[in-house]
Amino acid sequence: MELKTFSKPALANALSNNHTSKEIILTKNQFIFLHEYLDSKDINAKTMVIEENYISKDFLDGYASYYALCFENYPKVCRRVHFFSKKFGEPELSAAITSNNSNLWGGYLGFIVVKPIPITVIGLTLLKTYPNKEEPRVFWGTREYDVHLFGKKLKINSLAFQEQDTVIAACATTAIWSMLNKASLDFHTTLKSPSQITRDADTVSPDGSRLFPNKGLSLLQICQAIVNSGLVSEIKRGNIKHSDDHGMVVSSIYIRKILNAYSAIGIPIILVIKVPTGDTYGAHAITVSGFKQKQLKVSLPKNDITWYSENIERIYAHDDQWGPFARISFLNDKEIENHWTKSDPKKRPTLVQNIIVPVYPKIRISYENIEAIVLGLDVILRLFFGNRIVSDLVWDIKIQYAQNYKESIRNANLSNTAKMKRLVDPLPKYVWVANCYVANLKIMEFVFDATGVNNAMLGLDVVCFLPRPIRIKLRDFLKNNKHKFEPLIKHKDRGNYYDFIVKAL
Amino acid sequence: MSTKKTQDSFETTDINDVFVEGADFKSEKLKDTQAINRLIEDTLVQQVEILKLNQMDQEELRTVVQL
Repeated sequence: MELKTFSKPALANALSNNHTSKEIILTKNQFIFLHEYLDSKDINAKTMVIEENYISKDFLDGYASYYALCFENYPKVCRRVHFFSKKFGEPELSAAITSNNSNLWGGYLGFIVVKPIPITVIGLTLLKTYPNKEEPRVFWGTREYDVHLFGKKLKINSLAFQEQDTVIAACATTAIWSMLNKASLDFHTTLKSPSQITRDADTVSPDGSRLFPNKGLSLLQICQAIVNSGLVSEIKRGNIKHSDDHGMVVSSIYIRKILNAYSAIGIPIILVIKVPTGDTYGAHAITVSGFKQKQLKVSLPKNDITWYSENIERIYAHDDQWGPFARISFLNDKEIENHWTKSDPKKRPTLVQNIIVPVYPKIRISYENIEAIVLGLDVILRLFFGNRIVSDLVWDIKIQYAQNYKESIRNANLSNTAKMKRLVDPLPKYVWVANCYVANLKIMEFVFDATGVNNAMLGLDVVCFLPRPIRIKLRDFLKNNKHKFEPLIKHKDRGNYYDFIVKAL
Repeated sequence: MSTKKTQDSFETTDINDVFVEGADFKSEKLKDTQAINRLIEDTLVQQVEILKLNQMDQEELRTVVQL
């Protein structure tokens, strides 16, 4: 055990090993990022505790499958560097180790495992997220980890990060590994080491050459690796043309909608991005685990649909070539800005090529199927309300666990009879919920079965918060205009859908 | 009234506050206007577009993510 005051040289020294000098560490993107992160006013590291001869399971697996077979004698044990927000010396640390009452542990910020291999030294890293006090950040893709240090059990809310070693794992493997760290809390999903994930993806590289050293994975191989861990993937394609050079990209509006829609399930989402590197662009994968939301601006009723997800201002993603919870902001509807853009001499933007949404296999209905229906509902409600409401209708579509949805019903402004019926009636494990707001008040809620058959009528409930006389008017408006409005319900069973909504009112 | 209106936020706790004063809701059949027909047609096009986003083409699936 060794104790150091946190500083740039001390961190570089702690992250170096026999194969990687302090000078090399100082030039690494991950070092620049981690130093900035730990030194930021939000995290504010003051002291480092260095633990030698640490056995890291993630490294051991890669060690057994690759490094143990090298001629060079790589050690199998790692170093673990712990960070604290409090300044203390060895006497205080010794006292804290043997006592249960020390307040030193309250300032625990997490750790970085240093692997004993050349250059790609950053192993399992668990660091505290940015706080949620001053800015409304939501880290929906994180989980609680138990950290055992000198016999003390510490808890930290984070998502595991590590740098790709370019041998057993490239960026895609590392992105899947981070995602599985959270998804594996569900018993259906297995957390695998990077080498196992790469092996799960295929037997050869996309170019037909050997799988190890790994040169990256194709989208199909990424999906294959995800399936072999007990999940399934939904791949979202580009929806807007960027330029002749870059072709179709995923628009910022669509990125926000997808992150917002699937965030309530809590599985991190993988973005396939095109980043500026050298003279050209390269494909890269990152894992999104949170976002920052600003207050939604209220506008007067307008002729276009408004989405609640528009309030997402910034996203946080694990980028294995930089660090955990790396900030990404939206430059415009086609481009984003991240560390790749900021470090590019020409400041060329980063583009999102695809979104890979890992979901539990029981979720069979995609966001797009629900949005198509909501687009129709919005038109119907807009024609009914006209300029009689103080602000625009705002839609929030999210997939939810049924138990979480029922919890929201328990707290809703409904009569006890209306609550009772909804709480007692069975629901599928996952439901899509489309909430419609005016200003900050929910006026309607449409609930759909997320586990059903796409061709079937999936409506489960319509909760209407409008005063009874207006609700009756709306019902009659729907009845009187059925012929005009029914085609707006974009579904093969639209007649059934329409009757269900009318009946529910 | 429990309404608080600021420059860019509007907060209310009473559902009646979301309606403009004297709002009179109609339930009768809508007239067949060009504006309404255009709105419906545009929405139908938008719906088809959004459903296409789930359909990946084979070529795109071969994109190698390698950085």
